Amino acid sequence: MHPYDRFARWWLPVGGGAVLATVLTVGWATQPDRFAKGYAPTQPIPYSHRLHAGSMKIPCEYCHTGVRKARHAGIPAVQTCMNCHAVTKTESPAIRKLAEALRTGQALPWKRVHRLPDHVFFDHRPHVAAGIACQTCHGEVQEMEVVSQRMSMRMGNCLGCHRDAHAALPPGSPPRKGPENCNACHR
Amino acid sequence: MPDDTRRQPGEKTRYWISVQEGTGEPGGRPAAWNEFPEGAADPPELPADALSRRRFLALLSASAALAAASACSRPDRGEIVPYTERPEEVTPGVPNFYASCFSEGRRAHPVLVKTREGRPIHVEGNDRYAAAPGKAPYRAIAEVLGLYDPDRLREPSHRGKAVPVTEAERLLAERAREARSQGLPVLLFTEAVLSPTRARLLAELGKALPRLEVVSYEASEGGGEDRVLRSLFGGTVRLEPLPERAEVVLSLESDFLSGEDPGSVRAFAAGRRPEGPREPMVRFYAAEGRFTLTGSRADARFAVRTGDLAAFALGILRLLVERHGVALPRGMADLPWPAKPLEALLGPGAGEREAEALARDLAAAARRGAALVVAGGHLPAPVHAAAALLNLALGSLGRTLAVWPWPTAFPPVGRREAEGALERAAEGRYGLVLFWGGNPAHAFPGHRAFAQARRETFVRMGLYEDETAQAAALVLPEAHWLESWGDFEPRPGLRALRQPALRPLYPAVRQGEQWLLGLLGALGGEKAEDYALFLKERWRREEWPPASPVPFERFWAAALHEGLVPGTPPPPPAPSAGALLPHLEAARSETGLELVLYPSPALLDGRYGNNGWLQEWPDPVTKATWGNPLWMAPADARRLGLKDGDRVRLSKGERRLESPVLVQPGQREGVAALALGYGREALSVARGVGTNGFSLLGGDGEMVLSGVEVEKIPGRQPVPTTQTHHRMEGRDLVRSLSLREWARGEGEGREGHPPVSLYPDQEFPDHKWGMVIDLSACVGCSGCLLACQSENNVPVVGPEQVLRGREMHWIRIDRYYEGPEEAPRAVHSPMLCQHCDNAPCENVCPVNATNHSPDGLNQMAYNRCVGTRYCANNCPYKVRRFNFLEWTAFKREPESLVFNPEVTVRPRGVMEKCTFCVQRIEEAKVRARVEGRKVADGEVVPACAAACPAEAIVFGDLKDPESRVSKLARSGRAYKVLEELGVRPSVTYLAQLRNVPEDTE
Amino acid sequence: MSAPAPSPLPEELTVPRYLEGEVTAGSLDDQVLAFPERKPPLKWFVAFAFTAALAAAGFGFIGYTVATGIGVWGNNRPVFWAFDIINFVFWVGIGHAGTLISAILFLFRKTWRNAIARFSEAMTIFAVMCAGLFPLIHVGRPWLAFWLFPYPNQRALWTNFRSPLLWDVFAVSTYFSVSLMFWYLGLVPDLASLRERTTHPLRKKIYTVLSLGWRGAASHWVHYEKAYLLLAGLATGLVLSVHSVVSFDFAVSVVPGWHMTIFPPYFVAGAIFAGFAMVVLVLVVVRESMDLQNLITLDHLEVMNKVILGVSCLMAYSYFMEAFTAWYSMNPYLHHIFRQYVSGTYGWAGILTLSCNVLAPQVFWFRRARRSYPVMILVALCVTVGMWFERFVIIVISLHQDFLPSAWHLYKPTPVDFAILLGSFGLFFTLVLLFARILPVIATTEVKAILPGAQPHRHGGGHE
Repeated sequence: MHPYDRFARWWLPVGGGAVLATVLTVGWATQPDRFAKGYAPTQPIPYSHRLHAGSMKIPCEYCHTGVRKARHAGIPAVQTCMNCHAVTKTESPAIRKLAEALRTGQALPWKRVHRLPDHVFFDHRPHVAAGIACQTCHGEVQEMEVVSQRMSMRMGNCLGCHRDAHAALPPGSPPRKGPENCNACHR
Repeated sequence: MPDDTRRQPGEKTRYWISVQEGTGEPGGRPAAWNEFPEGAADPPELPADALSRRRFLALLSASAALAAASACSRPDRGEIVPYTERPEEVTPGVPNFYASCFSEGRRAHPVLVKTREGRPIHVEGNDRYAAAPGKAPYRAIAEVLGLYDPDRLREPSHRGKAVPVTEAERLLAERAREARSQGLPVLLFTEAVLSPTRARLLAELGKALPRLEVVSYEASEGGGEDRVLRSLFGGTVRLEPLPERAEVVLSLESDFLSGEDPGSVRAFAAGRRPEGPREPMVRFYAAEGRFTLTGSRADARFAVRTGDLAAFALGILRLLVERHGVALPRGMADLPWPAKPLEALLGPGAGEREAEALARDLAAAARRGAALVVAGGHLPAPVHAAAALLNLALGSLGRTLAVWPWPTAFPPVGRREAEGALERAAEGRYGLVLFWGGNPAHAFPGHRAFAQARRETFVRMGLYEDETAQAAALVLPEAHWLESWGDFEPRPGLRALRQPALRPLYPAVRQGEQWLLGLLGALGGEKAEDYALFLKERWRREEWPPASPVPFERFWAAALHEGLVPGTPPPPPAPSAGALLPHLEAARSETGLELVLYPSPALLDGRYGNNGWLQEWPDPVTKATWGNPLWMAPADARRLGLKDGDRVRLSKGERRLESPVLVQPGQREGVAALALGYGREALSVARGVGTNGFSLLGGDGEMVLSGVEVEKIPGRQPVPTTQTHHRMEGRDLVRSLSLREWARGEGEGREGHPPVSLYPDQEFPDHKWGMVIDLSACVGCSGCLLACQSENNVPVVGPEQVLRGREMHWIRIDRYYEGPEEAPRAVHSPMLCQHCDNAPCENVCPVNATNHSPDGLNQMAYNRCVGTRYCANNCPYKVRRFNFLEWTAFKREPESLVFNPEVTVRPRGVMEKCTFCVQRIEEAKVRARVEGRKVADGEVVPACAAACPAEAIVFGDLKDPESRVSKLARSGRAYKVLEELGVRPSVTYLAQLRNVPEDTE
Repeated sequence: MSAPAPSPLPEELTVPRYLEGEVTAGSLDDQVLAFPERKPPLKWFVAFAFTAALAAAGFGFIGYTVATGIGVWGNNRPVFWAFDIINFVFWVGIGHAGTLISAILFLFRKTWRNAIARFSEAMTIFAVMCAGLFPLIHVGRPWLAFWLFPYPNQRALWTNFRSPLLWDVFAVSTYFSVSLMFWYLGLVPDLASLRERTTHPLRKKIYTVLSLGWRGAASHWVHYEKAYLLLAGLATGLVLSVHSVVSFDFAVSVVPGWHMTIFPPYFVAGAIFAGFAMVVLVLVVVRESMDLQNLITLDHLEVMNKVILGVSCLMAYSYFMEAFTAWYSMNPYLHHIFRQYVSGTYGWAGILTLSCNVLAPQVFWFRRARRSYPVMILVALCVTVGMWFERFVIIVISLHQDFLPSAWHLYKPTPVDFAILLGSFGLFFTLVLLFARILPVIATTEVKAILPGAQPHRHGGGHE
């Protein structure tokens, strides 16, 4: 075969293929979800949701009180922990730390696990009111020793559910959709 | 204050916020910081270590700084810092409202302060305030920006060096003791003392310092009114017009519709929106030399030289007496009628027929006690005397005019007295001079009292290191009114409480009364730890009805909660008309150019000079921002060959001033006007903006100067205005009807065929939000603009950008002139995003960043916008705003604290516009959904509608035929701007109505 | 046509000669293909340095704009578009002449285009490159401009296919890629010849890769002919479509002065007009500086000038029709804007446009003018300026006073605006110079086709 033909028939396609492969690899390696999912920072207090929410069956809303009153579920005040820990396990180092914080008014800097961008105005109220379980988005928290992010919480996740909420809604609830217009979440 | 506010110099500044408990106990359990609504809290008990400050920065600046780049998620997501102990009334993410009271000059106005996690973000009116339910003065709304002004003083300083609070207190007490021991007088130079408790404190101080001189002076007042009223009533009084009771109103160059007092705007507007053409409607006459916003709304406007207003008023009185049998008050028989006949005073515009109509209408209204004459506070004594005489003759006192004695023992003094005190201060006659509030160094430019810097006997108590502070050795940082306690008498007998919405941002800052209490204690006077306690004690003794069954604590808690306590109005003082004669004799009409100095509607006497919102707030008449150009009549400008932006030198005797010119249609020939309050020499925003009109004021404080020389000087200084073309070019944009035209059915609907569409109408399943704007009620005060700016994080762009036409205001008040330049008719029309059903902006956006919501909103997704600006080109109303440059990302605390956490802060390169306050809509919808009901009519109120003192803006659901907005949209005056384009706007306008006097049309 | 023969007729009536003197296949190759081999003269380096500097400065200011924001330009409310879009439309227009010459005239078998086709096609590509720059940098957040492409994303968001801007994206990118292929295909045989001629090993490698294994075999020629014909057909359609779509940006909007049904044809005509002027300008320079008088004859230039004259009359008609429609519409907003075109603050721009585009080219009624360098250069410059200002009139004047007088505002460009405009010219001429330096500016294969006695073997045989 003539050398020019060989070039045209082999090297061109091979080169093209190589370029395509590179693009795909880089694209896959840099997809945002790879950072989003499974993020589980260590917290100032080794609080175990598996113990409290799992074995002890303390309802989520006992601590995350905002969930029906405000957009934000909220992180419990140290006070809330001390409701029980004033008497139970008072000697454990973590609880001592808590008690100390309450005494001095020192704040507890919890590590944020789920973070939505500032232009997203997610509101817990309607979701809870519709009977959607916390686990739908936050994963099986009651089985987590350390809380980790289970849903990548991208716009696709929101819309996916808003377009077909059936899976998320409690059984027997009438089929309904969530709003899909921009203002529902962006202001 | 708890002593944790003591701080050593050089120690890092820390920011404080604390919501006082409902009981209002001072230092009540502090709720804490929260920027990330998840409850990032940083309780005040926390010692000020670097860490907390760093976290603080991270948390605070985030909402501003990250808005742009936050689409990507990064490994670390910051922290959530919950309250350690959560105050029960605070739920992160839910706003709290606290009743407080705004005061300014002679006025006090009850307001509600909206706070989020203990951080004030918006000021609204107090619904319990009968005079203006839910309405706040526009400058009060803008004050939330002043609270977070980075220029604010953070610590006391002596000779320019920071000193701890204790040291400052010691120095102050030392000075006072020295003065007392040497038997030297002590001067307290302050602004009008409205607050009874503040007055009580001053009285106490007077006991401790026998030779205490209190001079309370309001630089923005002419003093003429005070002199007249004092001689008329034998004591200082407060005078409030009550237009709601009036049928005919005559304004003598008064700007009572400026919105500074929402009460009078509301009352006036209420009388200007008849149901039908036959219904009664207030008729409004104005006579003025300067073209005021108020005058621009007049049914008949007399262009009268300001100096001739007294003669004009007397001329009208003469007509009343001679033609309509109105009796002069007793002792007025030998009243000197002005030499000039009435017709000689009238300029272009309303003429003799209108003058006769005015007399006729006044007389008719007077029979029902429904006539009212108001005169501008800047006018000389004769005008006020004439106005008072008219009101007496027409029996307006007590009916359409409320008069009640000055609530404290410290009435404001005239400029002459004030200057006298400063003279003595300059000569060092005082052992201690305490400047509290006001800004005398600005109001008395170049006065020798302030020639020397850091004068040892001078003490400055204020918010800023301003002109006056630079003359004082000891500077005490004062708390902002939103951080302070106080009480006022907004209306006769009505008590209003001021409570702090947060603890002072800086630990070393405390309110003026608190410093004085410290001084009082040091001087061995009555001991009181805290001004809050002092206030409460006075209320226990004096305000709490002794026979009341309610225990005081309950009474006090209720008072703080409501912010108001009704009481019995004091008996109105009796007038003695004869005392007016001397003032009337002073009436003279001058020739030559008159210069009218008037308080700036934006900055008043300059105290708001550092407030970017107010600096960029377009003047309701000229639409000028960032400065005080000299208003000149078109004829005068032509004579002197002046165009907008040319520079002139004004001279009155020795006093000189240079200023750019702005040609103002409708201004009477021979009258020039200049706003006071500009030309500040200190503070980062205020410095060098405009010229200082005070430098032209004479010792008598006369604010209408005659025989002023104007000469053109080289150079140009373009005036940044937000509107550059002032005629409608014969387009059907703002409709204005006389009652008779309305009766004839003119202006209804539109000419030409109804716009047709090839496309099916859009479906709106649940709601169809819409707005109705009643142009007959709207006075053009532009308060809505500020409310919108505060609610929606609208940035300030500065004069250069305004000149380029890049201001960001989401709502603008279009103002057009019709008719001849000398006597135009002005119309005002708020223009905001019309949320068209067939929005032209929507189908040209290549990325769908702007599109239609199922409830009829034209929604704008900032984060999807790439900034092609095509939407704005295609918007027929040109209401879209583009972030040409980065306005906000660089903002750090405290500035960034003013942002509304419910609204995205827009980055550079994206388009934005009015959203109908979608954050409020969504909140209401969510609440309704959670409670399983429909959104009620009137549940959603956008910021502009909430602030509009005229209640001209009505918002609601057009899908519900019974909603207020739907009903109004069906009114006979309803029309839509540019309806012929077929874009189907959701905003309906109601044509403006004019109650033109009979036989003058 | 036949080989030049002495004729008794007066010069005006002789058959135009698109080859001067004795040209043979060999001499042609030596003349044209030699350039890339030779070291360019000093004047080339001078010119290149100048244009490259301009381009570099332009890109500097573009960087400044991207870093600081569109605010560094004069754009404001209501004039949200100004130089950015003017330049875009201007450059896209310039491109059109190239395609017209290389594709449409090819289909019409106008052999006079053979010598200049390669060159004008190259100009097309460079012009479109300049044009493509502006939509990209004019957006507020250029780093997100890729959102204009409809690609599946996790946000489940889609582009808005109703938006003319999106149509632009497709139109311009298609136009660019097709033109590029068309141009490149034409280059292949010449690249092959270069490959054969060159002795320099590196160049040989490069030409080898670029000529895609062309050996000039009969089968190659057959495929080549087909492909070339097909692409020509494609490009022809695009010439008309692209500028029509660009005109939709305006015609589809509600802005008075933009909302006009005449815009598509009117824009296409304008584009060809400006393009031909630019081709003439550059052709003259190339002809002289590269001594191609024998291949690019005065007759070439004269034909071009005739076209310019013709299109100029077409423009005059468009202007008149546009004004007439405006008047006939009885639309007050439109009436106002059209008054502003010729009176008002920016009226001078309208006057300038009319005189440059309608009056100036009329001199081409005279043969001497059509054949005189100074005249044709002057007119070409006039047309270029005039067409730029036509876009200024349409965009800036229409925007600065639309429906609500309260929103009216004047527009004032900043130095950055001018710097970027000059920069785009710099970029354009830099590319032209590079092209003239490293590639054969004349398609030898095509010119060989019009050599004496070469006719019968082209385009599947013509007249035998």
